[in-house]
Amino acid sequence: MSETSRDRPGLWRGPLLAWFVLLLLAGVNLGSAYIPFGAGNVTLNLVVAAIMAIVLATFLMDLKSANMLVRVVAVTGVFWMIFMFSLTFSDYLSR
Amino acid sequence: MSDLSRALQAPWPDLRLQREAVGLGMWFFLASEVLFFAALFCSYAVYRSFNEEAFRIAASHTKIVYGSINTALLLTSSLTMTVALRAAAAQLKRMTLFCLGATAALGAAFLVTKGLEYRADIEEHLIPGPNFPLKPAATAMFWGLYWIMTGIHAIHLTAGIGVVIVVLTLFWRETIPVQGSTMEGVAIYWHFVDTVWIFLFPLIYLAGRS
Amino acid sequence: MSEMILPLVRAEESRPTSYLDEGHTVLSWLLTTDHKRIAILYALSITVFFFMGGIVIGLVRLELISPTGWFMTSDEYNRAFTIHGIIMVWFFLVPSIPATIGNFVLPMMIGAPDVAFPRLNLLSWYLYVIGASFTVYVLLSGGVDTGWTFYPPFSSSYSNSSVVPAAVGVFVVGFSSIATGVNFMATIHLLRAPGMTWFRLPLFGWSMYVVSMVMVLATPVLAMSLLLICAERLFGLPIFDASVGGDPVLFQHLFWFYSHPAVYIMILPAMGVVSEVFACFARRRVFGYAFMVYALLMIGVVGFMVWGHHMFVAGQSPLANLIFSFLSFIVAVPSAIKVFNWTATLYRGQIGFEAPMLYALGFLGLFTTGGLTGLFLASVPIDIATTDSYFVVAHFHTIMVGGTVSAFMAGIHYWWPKVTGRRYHEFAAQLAAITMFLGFNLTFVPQFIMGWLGMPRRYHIYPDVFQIWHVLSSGGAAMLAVAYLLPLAYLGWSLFNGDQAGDNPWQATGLEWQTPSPPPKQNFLHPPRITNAPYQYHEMGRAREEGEETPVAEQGDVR
Repeated sequence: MSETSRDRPGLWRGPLLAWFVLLLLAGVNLGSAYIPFGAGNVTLNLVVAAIMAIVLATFLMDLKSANMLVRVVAVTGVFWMIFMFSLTFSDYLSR
Repeated sequence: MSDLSRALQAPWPDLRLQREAVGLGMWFFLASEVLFFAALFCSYAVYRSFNEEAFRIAASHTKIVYGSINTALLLTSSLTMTVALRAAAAQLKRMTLFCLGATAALGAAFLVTKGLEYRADIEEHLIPGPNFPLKPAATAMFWGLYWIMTGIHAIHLTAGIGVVIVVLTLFWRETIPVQGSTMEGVAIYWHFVDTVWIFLFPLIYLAGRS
Repeated sequence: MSEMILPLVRAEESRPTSYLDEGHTVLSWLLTTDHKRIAILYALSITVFFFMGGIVIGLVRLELISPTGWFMTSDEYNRAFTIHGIIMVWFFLVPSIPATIGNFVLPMMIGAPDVAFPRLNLLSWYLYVIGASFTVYVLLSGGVDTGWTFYPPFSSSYSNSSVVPAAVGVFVVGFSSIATGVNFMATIHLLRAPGMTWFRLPLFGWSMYVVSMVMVLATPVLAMSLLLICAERLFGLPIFDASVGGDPVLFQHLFWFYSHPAVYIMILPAMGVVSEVFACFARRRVFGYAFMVYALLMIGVVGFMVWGHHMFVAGQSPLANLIFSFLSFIVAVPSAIKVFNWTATLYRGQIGFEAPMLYALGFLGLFTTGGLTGLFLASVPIDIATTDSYFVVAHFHTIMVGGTVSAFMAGIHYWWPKVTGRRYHEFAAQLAAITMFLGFNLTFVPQFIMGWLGMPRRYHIYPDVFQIWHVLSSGGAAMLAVAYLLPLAYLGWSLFNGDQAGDNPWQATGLEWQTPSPPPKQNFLHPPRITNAPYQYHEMGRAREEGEETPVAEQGDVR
């Protein structure tokens, strides 16, 4: 569980830092879109988005201090998404 | 604390276990939501992989300013929601209410911005159908997916705002105490809606920019 | 460690109030949060839908006696088989065992006073009812004719029927599934009684866990696929429209991503039920418990990777066909392991042939043959010949009816004394079980044969050469109808005139039997504590007839 500090600035400090990092990364995404990397653009964007999601989940959704069960459940959806994408593309990419 | 006894629901023996249950239950639900959006993202990925150029052309007509503002609004709302959750756990009722209110306000601001954006899109006839202005044909596929993906996201956000307002009212009237298990679920759901947007933003807005 | 603070019944009370007597008003049922009452609400609802779906297909089987049809137009025929599929899959089979037997038995089996989120449980039933009401609207507004599979472009562009209401009904009932799944998983994780470790969980409990996982992960994809059809139909958004680069096969990918795991949603609970029944009626522990658990998990996971075997001739690439075929062969392995282990459980047992066992034995044989025919279909060259023929229809009905419905009946009869406190008339039940088995085979063996001979599925008018098989099949369907009506009669009768059941009429192990029949609202009189593995039938050491029964109230804490 998150620290139950009654110290008001303490409540804000961690989340504020995470928020700042998220805005920074969003800016990177936005800015890099204007630089022509070709196919690299979408890859970079998705990687940055994934990092943002991890930052959000770890620091704002408290996965950092959660037990193993919650962490497994949190990644399960993503895992199943990988089944969906990989097997669907096994059809489309070989047509 | 008699306060807490109102928060305790059957069949839970204590509040700590109940909070753990609500958190776990919400994460289970989130797994289903991930797959709900995954079906959309998969469709998008399939069609984009076959229509790279058409998707670039189509995406260059999205309103990047509105989209970027919305990104900032939602990320900030996740900040306020996190602080609301921490404040609730620390039993700081006024701080919780303030942060919940800020979260709802930021969410509402997102919806207003989205509404303005939708109006602009409609004015440009960017709805697949007889008056659709773009070529080649697959640009209509991008825009069909645009309306569905942003629309479903907006519906989820609206539901989240509704829940936040209801919870805020219940806390304010002290119908349930802030340190119960309600905030767990609400916060996790809200962050998920933000996460979906984190992936939607580059896929919708950033494709045709360079 | 937190204590289980159960509102305990005082020791002086010898006859605790049954959950059935806690309130007699309609509102006390409609607003209940007691998992046992919600289970009964579900049971009544799905029974209504079972008979609706059954009557419709009865009409279809009647129509198919004639190769040229005799009382339906082709359009009506299409609507009939479509609504049969929609009702049976989503309004009967998917909720059948989990929402009725699971809801009632699972918390008791793990020593819990209720599920994790009782109000969510009630909400899930209301979602079912709301979804179901859309289906009733569809029926009254002329039906839908796309097949339960809703394939575009017919469903999205060309069909002149109630596609959107049907899709919305299914969409809503899907959330009922998800809610149940979330609830059960949280319940099993967090509300097991002290001493109930994961590997002391009875196999029915494990099956509820795995099916919940599958429901939560698969159902949303169905929801999205139907939503996209509705978006295309209502707003003209061209998601599967080939003229702008859309692909109707993409719908099939998304639809079957759910619908294949859906068949595992239908069979996993059945497997859980028969494990319990075999152990009790053979007086033996289940053979190979650990492998039974791993098999359930493997089916639940690998079952998500085989959906393309429904699309071998849809235009999927040969590479994808190969991959999906291979994975489909793999997923048969854990099912086979389970069949071997059930057989080994029976071997050298002291077999009793009460109705639950008869149904479970029917399951064993029919699940095996149904599964084997599935392997035929998993082979691409064979599937190319048999796809969209009656061979496929017979295959999936063998699993769903021969398998799941048999197991559902086994479970209903097994737990009936616990739920109602009454015993049903055993001979009538055995008769119904045998009639069902015979009727089933008469209905579906001719379908395997005619499928192999080339009779296509979903055809209203067919070549004369197949008529004999259709007539046999329809005769079998009449027998099945009788077999399904019999339980309504004798189970209903038992509610008013059946013998009192006693707390453990089957001399079964399992926590649900260590409490009165019917149970009190809070399930247990004394806090359960578990100290040994499930299925301790060997330790009981005697055949059922030789044992005496001690009423639960006079027993101490559970061993």
